[in-house]
Amino acid sequence: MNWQGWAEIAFILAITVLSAWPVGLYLGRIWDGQTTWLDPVLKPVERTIYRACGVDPTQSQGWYSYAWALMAFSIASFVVLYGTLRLQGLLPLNPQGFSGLSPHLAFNTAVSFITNTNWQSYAPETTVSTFSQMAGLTAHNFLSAASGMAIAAAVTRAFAADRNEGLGNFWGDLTRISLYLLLPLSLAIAVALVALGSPQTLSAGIVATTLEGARQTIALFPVASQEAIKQLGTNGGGIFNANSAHPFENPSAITNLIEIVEMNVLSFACVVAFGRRVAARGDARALVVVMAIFVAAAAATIYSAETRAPPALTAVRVETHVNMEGKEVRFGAPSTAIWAAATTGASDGGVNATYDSMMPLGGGVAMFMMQLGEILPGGVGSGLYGMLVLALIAVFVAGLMVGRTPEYIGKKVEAREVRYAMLAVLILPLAILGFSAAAAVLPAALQGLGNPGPHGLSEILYAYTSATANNGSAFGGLSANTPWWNTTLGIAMLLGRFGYVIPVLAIAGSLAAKPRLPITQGTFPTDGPLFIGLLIGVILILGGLQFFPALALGPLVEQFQMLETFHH
Amino acid sequence: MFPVILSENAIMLDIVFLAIGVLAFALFGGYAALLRRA
Repeated sequence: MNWQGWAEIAFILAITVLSAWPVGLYLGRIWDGQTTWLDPVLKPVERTIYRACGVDPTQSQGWYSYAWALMAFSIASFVVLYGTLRLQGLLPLNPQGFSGLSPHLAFNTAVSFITNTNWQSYAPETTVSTFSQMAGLTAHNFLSAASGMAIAAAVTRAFAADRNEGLGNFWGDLTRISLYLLLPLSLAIAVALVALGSPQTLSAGIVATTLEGARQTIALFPVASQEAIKQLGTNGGGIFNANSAHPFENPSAITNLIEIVEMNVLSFACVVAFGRRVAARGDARALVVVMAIFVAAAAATIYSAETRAPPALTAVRVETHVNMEGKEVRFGAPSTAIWAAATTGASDGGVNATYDSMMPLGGGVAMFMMQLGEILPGGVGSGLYGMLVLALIAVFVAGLMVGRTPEYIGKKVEAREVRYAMLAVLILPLAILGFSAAAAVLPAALQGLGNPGPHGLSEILYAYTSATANNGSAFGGLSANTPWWNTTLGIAMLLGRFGYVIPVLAIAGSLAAKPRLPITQGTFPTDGPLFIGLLIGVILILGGLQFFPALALGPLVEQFQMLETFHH
Repeated sequence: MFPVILSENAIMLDIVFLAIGVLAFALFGGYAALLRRA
């Protein structure tokens, strides 16, 4: 631990939040269908897409219709992506000569990429063809991110509405967000990554001869284009198995900085756009503060845990003050800590280190960030609507304390919304703890574990947490490419995405139909430190109550066991 | 000698996994309908 490390963490977090402001203002214009400086180029493309698909973007949909449009799009995406992965051996642009993925792996991968999870049970460079990567996986990096942001736009309109049931048009939102935000930003970042050393090529790879004379194939792909949207859309699925610890995905400290900022910027920007759109900038600022506090606290805890003398090494008299196992020497502990906090708080899932090799406390914090619901700052779009669900619960709790019907940003929060909010938040423990309990006793699941005891339980918990929270980062140590893991993790991803989104859209439908109330003397202020404290409390208590017993049996007991073993 | 996709077993598994996916969405649709009526 040193001051440079702390300064690096603070600098990266500050630059992320600051850059979210202009992006959020621009995003607000896209959500509103206002003109942008890209209109001369993109407006004709947008119109052509609507004409070709028979879409009228001005036709506003109610929540039920909006939800069905999302699901219809996701079913079609799932079937096409499944087919692409199974048939890649027969499809073009396969210079590697890869055959199709097995049925259970194709199921897991298709679900993973349409739900914005990007969990990968396979090593990409030896499994997925260039065509599958570009037309299948990278395309869904854009589309799944745009879907999440479309839902956030719909929820935002619900708060802005005054007795109006329309939430906007899903197809219009999907098109505009992809065209005006994700494509241009990704293009700019991809060009920057190429300039900084990432490859962008359709060739399969090159054969090199090592100093010892051995022949080695170095895999190549269009890396920069995938890397840009991988981080920007909180996707996280790498083109190489080592993800952003690979020098082609993340060549230097500068690309590392760009990729960390990318991971969180759109999630913060969604909150800024929300504040602008519903004329509640103070409330949006409060949500940004809560998100930033959690990311900072998680990064600080991980940095502190990883920069103490590792007891196992001290016991064999190795003098070191940093746990460098599993870390990239190019990045070191501070970059690993802020990346880990950002990626697990943001549902990104990209990694620049191996979390299985962190101290139990560090790995536990990464897991806990995901279990808090991917709201800190969360996935693109999903962070905003997830945080709004928690904010509704927080004002409900405050309302119970003072005996007054709670309101949030001009909308009365009644039994229906709180019921739906609870249905949404209970999806996480249902899928995570339910599947983990089954996996902890079934031989078919246990075969995939790399470690016994508490660490093995951590591997199980981490996998289902990552899948349900649509994060996609892997703990390592788990061989997940088996029928059991691929199938159950796929189902967990579906539950985590759609089991959460449906009640959220139902809340939006209910709120949109209500009148917007003026702020009075009796309104509980939701833009000040009291609300920030209350919201942090609600997030911690909900997460703690749901997952603390499981964490106590995994990373926490492992931390104590480690200290006990090496101190005697 | 045949591609994996053409083997009888793989086709059956394809049907099973596609069915799991489509069935999941059908259930989510039912869930949405239930919430709309509530």
